[in-house]
Amino acid sequence: MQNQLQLLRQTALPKIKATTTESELLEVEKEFLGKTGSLQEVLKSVKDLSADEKPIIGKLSNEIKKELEAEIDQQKKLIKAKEINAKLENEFLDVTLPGIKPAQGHIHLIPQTQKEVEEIFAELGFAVMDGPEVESEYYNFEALNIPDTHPARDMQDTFFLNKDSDPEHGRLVLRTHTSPVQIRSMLAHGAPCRIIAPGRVFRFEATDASHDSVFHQFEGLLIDENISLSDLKGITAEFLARLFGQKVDVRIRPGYFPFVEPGLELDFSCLLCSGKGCRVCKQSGWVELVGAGMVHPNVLKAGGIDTDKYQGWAFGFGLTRLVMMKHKITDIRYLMGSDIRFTKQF
Amino acid sequence: MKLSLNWLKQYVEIPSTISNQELGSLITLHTAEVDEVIDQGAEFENMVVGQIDELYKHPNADSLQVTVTNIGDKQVKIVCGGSNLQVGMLVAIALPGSQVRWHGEGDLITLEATTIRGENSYGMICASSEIGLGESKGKEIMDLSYLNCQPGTPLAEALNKTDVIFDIDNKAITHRPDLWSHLGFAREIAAITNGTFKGLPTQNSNLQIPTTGQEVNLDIQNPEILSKWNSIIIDNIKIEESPKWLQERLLAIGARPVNNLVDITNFVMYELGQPLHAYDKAKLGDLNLEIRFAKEGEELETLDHKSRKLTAQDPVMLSQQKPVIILGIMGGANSEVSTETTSILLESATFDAVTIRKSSTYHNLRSDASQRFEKSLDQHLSLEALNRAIELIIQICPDAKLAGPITQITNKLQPELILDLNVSKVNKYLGFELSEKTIIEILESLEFKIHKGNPLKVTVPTFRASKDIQQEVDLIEEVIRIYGYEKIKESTPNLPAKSPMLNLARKREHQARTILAGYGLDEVLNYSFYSKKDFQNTLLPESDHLSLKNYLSEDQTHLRTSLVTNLLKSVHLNSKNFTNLQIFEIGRTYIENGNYFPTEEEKIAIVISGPQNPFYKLKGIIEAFFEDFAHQEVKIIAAQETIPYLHPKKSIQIVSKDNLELGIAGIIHPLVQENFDLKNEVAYAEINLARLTHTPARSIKFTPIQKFPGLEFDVSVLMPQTFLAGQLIAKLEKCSDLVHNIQIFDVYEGANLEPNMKAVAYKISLQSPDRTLTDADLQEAKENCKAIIAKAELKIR
Repeated sequence: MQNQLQLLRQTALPKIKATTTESELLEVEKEFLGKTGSLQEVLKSVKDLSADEKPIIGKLSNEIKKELEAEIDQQKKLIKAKEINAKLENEFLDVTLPGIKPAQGHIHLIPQTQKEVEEIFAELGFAVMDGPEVESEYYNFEALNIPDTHPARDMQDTFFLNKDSDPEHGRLVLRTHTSPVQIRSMLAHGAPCRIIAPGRVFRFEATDASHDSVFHQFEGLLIDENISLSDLKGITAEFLARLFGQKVDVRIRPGYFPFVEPGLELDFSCLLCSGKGCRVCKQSGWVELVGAGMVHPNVLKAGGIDTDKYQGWAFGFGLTRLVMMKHKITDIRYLMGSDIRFTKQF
Repeated sequence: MKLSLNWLKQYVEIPSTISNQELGSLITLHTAEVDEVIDQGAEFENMVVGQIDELYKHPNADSLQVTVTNIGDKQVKIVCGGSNLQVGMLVAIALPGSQVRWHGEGDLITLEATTIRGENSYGMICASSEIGLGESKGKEIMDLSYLNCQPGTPLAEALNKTDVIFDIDNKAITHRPDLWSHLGFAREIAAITNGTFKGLPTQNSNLQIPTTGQEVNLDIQNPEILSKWNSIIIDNIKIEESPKWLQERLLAIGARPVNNLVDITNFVMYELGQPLHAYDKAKLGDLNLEIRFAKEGEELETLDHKSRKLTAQDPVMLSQQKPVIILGIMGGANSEVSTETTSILLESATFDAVTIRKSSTYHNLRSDASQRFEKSLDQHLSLEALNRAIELIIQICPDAKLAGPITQITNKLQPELILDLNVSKVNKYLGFELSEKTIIEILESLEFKIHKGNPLKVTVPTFRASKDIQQEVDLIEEVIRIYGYEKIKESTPNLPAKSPMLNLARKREHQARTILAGYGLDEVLNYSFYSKKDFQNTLLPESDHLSLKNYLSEDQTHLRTSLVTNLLKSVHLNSKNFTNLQIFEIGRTYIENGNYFPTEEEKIAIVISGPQNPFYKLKGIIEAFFEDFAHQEVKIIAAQETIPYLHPKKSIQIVSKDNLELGIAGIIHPLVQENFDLKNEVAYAEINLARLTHTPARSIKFTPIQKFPGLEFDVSVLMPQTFLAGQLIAKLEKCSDLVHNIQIFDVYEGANLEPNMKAVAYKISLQSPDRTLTDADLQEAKENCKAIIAKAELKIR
């Protein structure tokens, strides 16, 4: 019996070692250790052994079984390792072929930038306000200190609608700037007031590479008890630095807008040439983008604000021009042109 | 408006340390934007007048000669091919370093001393075309012998090209009537450069204005037309060319000299800012004149030889019941000064700005005069200007004879203006402290008079009081801009931290954009308008539309009531480059509602074109969108009413739980597709973002994850093609209490089926939260399904 078991062991060990695949190994395992395998076959006759022999044979068969199992396990790992090595050896992928892209849509450049602007100002505590695009002459002009007879109306080439005028509101127009939102916000929420108002504006003027009848602006308004021109310069510089991710110099010079006094133009240092002078800044080193100033007392009054207590500033930023400058867009008409070859670039 | 530096220097001494470019930027930084500084002499740098001392043939070239030319400090050799060279001739020499245009063609090149065929040549003798002074004749060089100047004189000086022109942006001075003149700018420049303002040269004290004689007799019917009138009659005028100095002044700023009289009135206007008008006295008939608003039916041929139909808003002067001028805007041809004129009526008046503006806008007639009057001129300027013009006329036409006194009429006196100025308010505006002394100095440099106290009492000079200085803040602007905006330091406002009011609509709008772009859609922006034909092509009703009174083109006459029209144009445009299009737009529509303000709402529009069944692609996007947008539960149902531009049998509505319509979608009506020349079927959806934002939000509650396995079975139902397969789902749900989900997973039409029939396969999933399902559960549900299908008069396939 002992000899039989030793023989089984000697036959099994080389057979296990000779296997090269998992299925071969499985076959060998079955042959020696399976329910009907050689080991069981040998052990069938254990019942005929004497009581003295039984524990010896039992112990030996158990040892042999464990040894074979360990050997099979070892061989399994070996085979697996070989398979993996073979895979590593033989497999290949042309990694230069293009990937399978998910559907990729594109948000138009104007709303993209507008969102950035809104987020920056929200962090500075400014609320985002909206107003109608079809606006009344009152909100678009009179309340902003631009009476009908004011020469400044020449600057605002206005679209008028075919609609009876209202005794209080005058004619219906397409808003020529986002400034009417100033009045609407002051009337709705009073002072203090910290808002921006981005949106679509309209000008009745011939279109060319740098002028379009529809474009985008955003208005800023800050009213409180001690708001100064220094703050205007500070906030604008902070905004530009965050938007462009670098320090931007701001220059203020006089400008004329009836709804502010003092009236200002805000220029910022040209980012394309670092202020040295280039084509975009017309060799001046400065880019002109913002009309601004301290809100005119007449405008504050139209907004129902106490001018003895409160003062503040407002600005009108050319969002479209900002976008054109940032991305070097050569013709404004691409922005409203709905050609998706344009949209897809950004 | 153009300013000549030479002219300005008559009235102001500018510190010599300030260069012309610096002066330009000082004006920009303190007063008004300078568009351009044009240095006339710049292009003649390194060019001098030379005299040819010797001339001989070039030894190695037939067509060239060698000159020995005196350029002032020395003699130099210059090789030249000019055909008209002569010894003794004065010529224009471009020295090394100057920029010329070879033979008047191509770009400017910089000259260097060189050798031409073995002969040294130090510069070039120029033809006029080579230095930008006009066409040259054949191979002739410019003969400057007429200049009679010393060799070596800089060419710019010899040609009198020494002026510098500042081109001021007109928009920057619309509020400053005083700045429409050289004198006004001279005053500003003195203040911003610390220069000395000299003012007008002292008037000729010998000038005697008669106290009696001829005068006009004015009948002013509408005194609101003018606040002040001054005029004089001058006889014995001889109309001829102006003296050279006067012509040069005008030419420098781009004005065309006409004759002595017109040039004098123009000169005074550019000098002082006050327009004047000269009438031919003989043509007026008599001196009884009437001033009033025109009457309907009256006409006048203006100096530009256009016949104008006058209206009741046009201020006119009439002689013998005939209009002779639209006052303050343009004279009439019937009283125009001509070479035959010998007597004139010279007018200098202050007209009402609003009246002038209305009338000139109505006639679309913008003259130098109306441009100034509509800014509200200082009343006191009109007499000063008339005196100045008289002085110049006597100087330039010595025979001229003043025929009577100056007629002066004042309808309304411009009041003296004294304003309070609080030093503390100036500093509150600035954000830092400026001393009272500095503030006073600045205001005094601009001719304001200060009476000390708290507040300061500031008397506004009349030339500022007529328009732009009206209240305290206007004074603050004066102080700060002269002090210098560049000196303002950046600061951040000292405000309490406050989280801004939420703009939910805007937040949702950006969210919608992000979701749709995530599905692979591209966003476009379209104009807010389209044409009548466009909306007719889209079958939209005219009654919903607002139309523009003035428009830029016939394509842009109406405001959009839907985004569909312009988006279909976008599809047409883009289909040239893309076969599959998935576009969206977020923008406002404007709908006439009978009220003053139209209904203006933000819409999301989606358009799909290209794939086989664009409808289902679109519907899938909408289904996913509402799931992701997760705002509230919505129902998508077959359209209950017709949407004009959609196919009536291929359209759906998206409604809220309480049946508020949130949007529509479907296939574009075949007629509309045809109208927009679209090859493929197009699917379109329009969602009312405004309405969606304002419906209450859905809160999503956790559903326990099922522990027990479910069962599912398929059932294929045969139905007519026009049967709405989706509507069977609600019925099938009743087959068991355990129904968890029902999905349509296949639709088959075609072979093996009767015509007009389709087979729709439903997958029904059963699930229980507290036990494993049995075969009995499955069988029961299946049996019930059969009954439901039979009851619906359909068959199982």
